[in-house]
Amino acid sequence: MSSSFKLRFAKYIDKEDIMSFIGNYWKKNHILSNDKIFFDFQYRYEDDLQFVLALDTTNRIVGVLGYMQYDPEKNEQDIALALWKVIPNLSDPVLGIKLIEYLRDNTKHRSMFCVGINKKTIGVFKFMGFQTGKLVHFAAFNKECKTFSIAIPPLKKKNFVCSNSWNFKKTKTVELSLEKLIKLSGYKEKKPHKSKNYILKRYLKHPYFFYTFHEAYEKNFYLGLVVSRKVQHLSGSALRIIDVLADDKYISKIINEFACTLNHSYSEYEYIDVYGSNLDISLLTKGNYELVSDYQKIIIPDYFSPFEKKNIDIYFCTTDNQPSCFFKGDGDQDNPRIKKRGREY
Amino acid sequence: MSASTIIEIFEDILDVKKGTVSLKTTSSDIDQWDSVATVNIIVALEEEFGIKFKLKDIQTAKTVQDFVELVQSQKNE
Repeated sequence: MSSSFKLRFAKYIDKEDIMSFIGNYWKKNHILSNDKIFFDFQYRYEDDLQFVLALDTTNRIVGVLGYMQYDPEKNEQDIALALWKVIPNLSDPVLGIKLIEYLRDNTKHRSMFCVGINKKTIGVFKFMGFQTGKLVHFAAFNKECKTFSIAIPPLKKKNFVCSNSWNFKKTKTVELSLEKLIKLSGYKEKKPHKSKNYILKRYLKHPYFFYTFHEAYEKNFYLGLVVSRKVQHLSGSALRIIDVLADDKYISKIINEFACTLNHSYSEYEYIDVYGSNLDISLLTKGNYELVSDYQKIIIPDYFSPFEKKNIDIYFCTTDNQPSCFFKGDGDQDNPRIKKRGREY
Repeated sequence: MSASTIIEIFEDILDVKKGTVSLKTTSSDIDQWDSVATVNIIVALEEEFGIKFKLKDIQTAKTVQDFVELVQSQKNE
C-alpha cells in the first residue's frame, strides 16, 4: 500500500518548523519548542539536524524522529533514538514505524537504541525487532545525613564497605582523561560506543547542566570515568551518576566503590543514585546500594525541574541482541524539560 | 483460533469493558485505538498465535474482522 506521506532527513532550515511542531503536538512550552540554543545543542550536526521528517502533500510536518549519532564518522556507529511523534489519526497508521525504518535504512550504523521509551510503545518496538527492558535504579544513602529533603531513604542505612585499593580523582582536564579512555581495549569494544567528540559535546558543552568527571582507579590502574551531576531541592543536595565510561566488566564495581565518596568528598549529600542496564544487581545490593522501588518504600526522584517526589521507571529498547550498559546519560534522557535561565551550579 | 479470543485481546489492549468490541468495530469507534494500540494488538496476536505479521498487514486491516482474517491467513501459511 502506498503512503501519501513523504519521508526525508531534516536540513537546518527546517529548525523553526520542527520547533513549532514540538510545541504544537509534543508538549506546549517544551524546551525544544522555545530554546534555539538547546535545540541546536541537542540536534544540530554540521549543516543538518538529526531528525527524520514525515511531510504531507502540502509539505507540512506531520511526524518527526530525532536521533543522536554517537560516532558519525564511523560506519559501525551506534545511534540513539530520541523525540518521536506523529500527528494522531493520520491515514497511515504506521507512519511512526516508517520514520524509524527510514533512519535504519538510510544511516550507517551497527545498532539503534532508545533510552526513555514510553511503556505503551514497548509493543511497537518489539514489532520492529527491538529488545526491550527497564533500567534498574540504585541508590547509596549517606548514613551521616540527618535530614532528607529529596529522597525517602530506607529505615536502616548501610555502612559502606570501601576498599583502600580504589581511588576516584576529579578531573578538570577531561580531554586528557578521554584520550586515556579511548585507548582502553575494553572501551573500544563497548556498545553503545561514545566517541571522544560525542562525550565532549554531550557533557562539556551542555548549555544548562554541569557535569563532573571522576577518573576511577583500582590499584593505580585507570579503569574509566564516572560522569555525575549534582541536583538540589530545598536544602538538600544529591549526586546522580549519569554515565560510566568504562569496560562493561568494571562498571558495577566502579559504581559500588564510588558510593564511598559520600564518606568524604560528598559527605554533605543525601545520596548517590544511578539508573543503568546490564549492571550486577547482586554486587550492588550486597554492596553499598539499595534497589529503588516503591515496594521497598524508598523514593529517589528523577524529575527536578519541576520537582516531583516519586520514583520513575525508565524503559529502553535496542536492536542489539547482546546485553548493553545504558545509562541516564544516553540519548536525550538527562536534559531539562522546560527552558532554564542559566547554567546550573 | 477463535474470534472471541481475538476480541478479548482487543478489549484487553484497548482497556475497554467486555462486550465493547465486536467484529465490526473499527479504530474510529474507540478513542483508545490509535496507531500505537494497533501495533500492540498485532504484537499480542503474534504472541498468542505464534505468527508474524508484516507492516503492510497493519496498513490494510481496518475492522476487527480484518484482523481475524489476517490471523487465519497467517495460520494457514
